[in-house]
Formats: sequence, structure tokens, C-alpha cells
Amino acid sequence: MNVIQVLTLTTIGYFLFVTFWILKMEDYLQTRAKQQYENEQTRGEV
Amino acid sequence: MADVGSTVATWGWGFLAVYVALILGLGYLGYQRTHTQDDYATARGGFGFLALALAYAATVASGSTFMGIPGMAYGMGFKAGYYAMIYPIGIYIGMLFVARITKKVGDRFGSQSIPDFLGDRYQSPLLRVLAALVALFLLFYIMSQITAAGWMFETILGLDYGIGIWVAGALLLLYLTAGGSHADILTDAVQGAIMIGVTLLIVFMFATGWGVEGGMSGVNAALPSDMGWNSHTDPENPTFANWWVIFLLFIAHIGFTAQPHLGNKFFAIKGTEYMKKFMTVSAVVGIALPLMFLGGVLGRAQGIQIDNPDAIIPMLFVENLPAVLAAFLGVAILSAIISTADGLIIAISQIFANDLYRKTYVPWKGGDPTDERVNQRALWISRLSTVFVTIAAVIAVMTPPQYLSILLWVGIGGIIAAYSGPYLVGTFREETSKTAAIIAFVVAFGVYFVIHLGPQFGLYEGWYPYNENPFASSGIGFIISCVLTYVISKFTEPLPTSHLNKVFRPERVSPDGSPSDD
Repeated sequence: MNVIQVLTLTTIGYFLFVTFWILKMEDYLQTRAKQQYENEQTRGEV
Repeated sequence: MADVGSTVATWGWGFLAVYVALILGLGYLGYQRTHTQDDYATARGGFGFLALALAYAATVASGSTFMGIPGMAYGMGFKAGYYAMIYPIGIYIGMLFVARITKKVGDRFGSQSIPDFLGDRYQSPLLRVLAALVALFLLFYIMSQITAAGWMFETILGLDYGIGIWVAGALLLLYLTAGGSHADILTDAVQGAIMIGVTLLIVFMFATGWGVEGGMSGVNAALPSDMGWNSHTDPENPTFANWWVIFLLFIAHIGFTAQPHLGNKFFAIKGTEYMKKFMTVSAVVGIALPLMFLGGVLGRAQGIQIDNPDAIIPMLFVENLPAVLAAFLGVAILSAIISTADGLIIAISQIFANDLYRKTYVPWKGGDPTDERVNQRALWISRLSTVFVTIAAVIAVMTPPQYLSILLWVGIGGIIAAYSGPYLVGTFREETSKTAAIIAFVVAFGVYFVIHLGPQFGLYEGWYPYNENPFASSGIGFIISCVLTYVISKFTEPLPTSHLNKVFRPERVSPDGSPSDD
């Protein structure tokens, strides 16, 4: 493989990661934060 | 006057006049929006995702992207693409990690800079001051941008470098002192849009093998074999010595996201609900702009002879395009350089106005940082320090330094090493402790300077073989910073839960600390 081909594959990998992060991870992190908060509230009530 | 086509210079002055009129207009618009210190420092909530994404990409794509990196490609050939294309990947992946939490916490606590953000995140005035003092190294970065602007004036307009740097400084002062962050982001957004056009042109010229027989393959064939696209590494070159240092280049640039002039942009978006769109646009535009390195490769293939490799892109335009287009593109590159310098100047001004005065000196003296008189005084300090920093940077580069992209890393490598652990790890791990953040900050900063600068002064030579490579040294600093932050947090006391709730779940906590029902 030459430099251009390596960089093309790297860029494709980058776009896949960005897509995964924006479509999945962002929502996951927000959901996790909410769950942690709710768990703390539940523990506080117990 | 330098040797440049007189037609190009004439058109260049014309476009420069239009450009100055444009940024003055945007500067005035920024001035109208700037009423408080917070407006000047952050432009909080003032911009939609598109303008901010363009501004962010323009700020990342500094003079180095348009001058230093194509210069590197001119000297080393295709392998320079590993720097050109991998550094933005690192930066924009880092941006994905920190953008939302920076905006959330910044709005929640009223943070006006990244050192301020760290101080608020960890409830640590000490960390705020340490981060602010380390951020003063950004002055090197500003110097590199002013230098690049000076070269651009000489290459396109025929203006002597010594005069060009003063003109660049004056341009910056014209709109920054009035409009602060609003003017910075407005002008950067316009400049970002122009830069996309320039990049597309360079890619087109490369892909068609402009001025070379045989298209893209012809470009490769015209290069010496050690510069061609089958040459991946060069043991003699510290930046591309092997795959390990190229990987460290990537790692180091994840930490680059922590640079204060980038992180403060997140405060300006209207709300976290726009964050996904902001991330998408900036990630796409940001990876496109560094394709500019292809212009350096094309210039070498065309056999353009040039004393200063950093000026290869403007020379490529002068040699290949009609004078009017070459002049327009030259001014466009100048705008790219200015767009990074202005963000840096605003960031440094906030070290003095916010981090050291408003959030450190005022509370130390028993005052209230939110007091209206304090804010007005901070606004004046912002404007005065903008003038002072700009003039200091211009004076510092009156004798032009060589190798832009290396010079600027003297400062930013230390910032990456110091900030990365507290900023990035602290974004994901609520358990990250104040003690861990401070220790990691100090130790990683020290390690970067020891391994990067020590051997260059003859100390412990050979101990770290890649010490001349600032990216490899910063990459090590980044790893140490993150590992120390993580490990020490395991053994030290976390921050109070009530504070962590404010940091990590602001949408669900009302101002009095009770949960909201969203």
C-alpha cells in the first residue's frame, strides 16, 4: 500500500468512529449520567 | 520589497483592502454584541452550530496547516501526509470527548476559559492558576502565526517581512480589542468558509496533476524516490522515523484539544442540543483542510525552487494561476493565519483578565468575582492584555524564526502534557480527584520538558531517542498525564457528590441543587 491508500483507509476509519460516537456514544453517556443520578437518589431514599 | 509579480501584488492589495473592510465590519458587529466580560471572553451561547464549526475548524487549521505542513511536504514528499492527516484525526476525536461536558460545566459555573473550567471542575484555585501560567506558553504559538503572516505579506504582496508582521498585528488589534470572542468567531467562520474553497482547489490541482505530465501518478513519478508515495518512514527524520512515533503523533493530538484557544469555543454554542450537529460539521471540515499538504507535494513535483519551504503554497499559486486568483488565494491563506492568531490572543487575554485577576486575585482579597465592578475591570484588562500580547508577539518575531510547526510545539507540547489527564480523563471519570489532577498536571508537564528539552542541551543524551520530535515527547506526556490521573484517583478522595452532580448532570439539577423534572 502507498501513503495515499493508507491515509484513505485511516480517514474512512475516522469517519466510522465519528459516526459511531455521534449516533451512539453521545446518547449512551447522557443516559449513563441520568441513571447514575437516579441511582444516587434511590440510595439516598433508602 | 521582495521579488513578486507586480500584478499579483496589485490584486493582492485590492483583496487585502476588501478583507480588512470585511473584518472591520465583523469586528464592529462583535463590538455591538460585547457588553460584559463574559461576552468578551466566551461569546457564551451566541452562535449556531454551523458558524461555530467553521470557526473551530479555521482555528485548528493554523498557519502551520497552510504553510508549515505544505513546507514539510515540499521537503519530505508524501510521508508528510502522515502528519497532515493524522493530527486532525487526533484533535477531532479529542473534541468528541470533551465538547459537551465543557459546554455544560462552562455554562453551569460561568467558566470563561479552559484553566477556569479546570478550576471549576475540580474546585481547585491552585489548578486554575497552574493551568493559567502554563497557558502563557501559547505566546510561542501566536509568534508562529505572526511569522507566517509576515511571510504571506512578503510572498503575495511584496511587502517586507518586517513590515508585514506589524500590519498583521494591527489587523488583529483592529477587531479583537473591540469585539473580543464575538469578533473572533465571526471572522473565523467567514475565514473557515474561504479556506474550504482554497483546499478544494489544491486537491483539484493535485488530483489532475496540474503542471505535471501524467496526472496524480505523474506527480509521484516526478518526485525523488525517498519522497514518493511508497516511502512511508525515514529513520533519519525524527518526525517520521517509524510507525511508533507516527502513533505518538496521533496520541499527542488527542490532547491538543485541551488547548485553551480551542476549548473556549465550546462555550459559544447556543446550547448542548446543537452539539451533535457542531461535532459533525467540524469533524468533516477539519479533516478536509489539512489536505493542503498535497500542494507542497505538487510544488516539489513541479520543480518550483524556493528558499523558504513554508511559502510553497503561495508560490504554487503565483506560478500556476492567473494573477487575480493567486492574489485572492494568498489573502485567503493570510486570513487562515489570522483566524488562529486571534483565538490565541483572546485565550491569553483571559489568563490575565479572568484566571489570574477575576477568579484568583479578587477572591484572594475577599472580593466577589461576580461583582459588576469586578467584571467591568476584567473587561478592561481583557482589552489591554489583547493589545499587550499582540505587540509582544510581533516584537518577538522581528527576526524571523525557522520551522514554524516545530517552534509552536515548544509551548503547546507542555500544555498537552499538563492538561490532558485532568481535562480528558476528568471528563469521563467522575471519580477523578483533585489531588490526582494536580499531581498529573505537574508531573506530566515536567516529564515533557525533561524528555523534550534536556537532551537538546546535552543532558542524558540517547535516553529518549525521539526527544527532537515534539509530537513523540508530547505523546509520552499525554500518556503519563492520563495514566497518573486515573491511577492516583483510585487512591485519593473524590470530590463531593453534590459538586459532581452539578458538573455531570446539570440539566437535571436546578440552581438550588435540587433535581429538575426534565
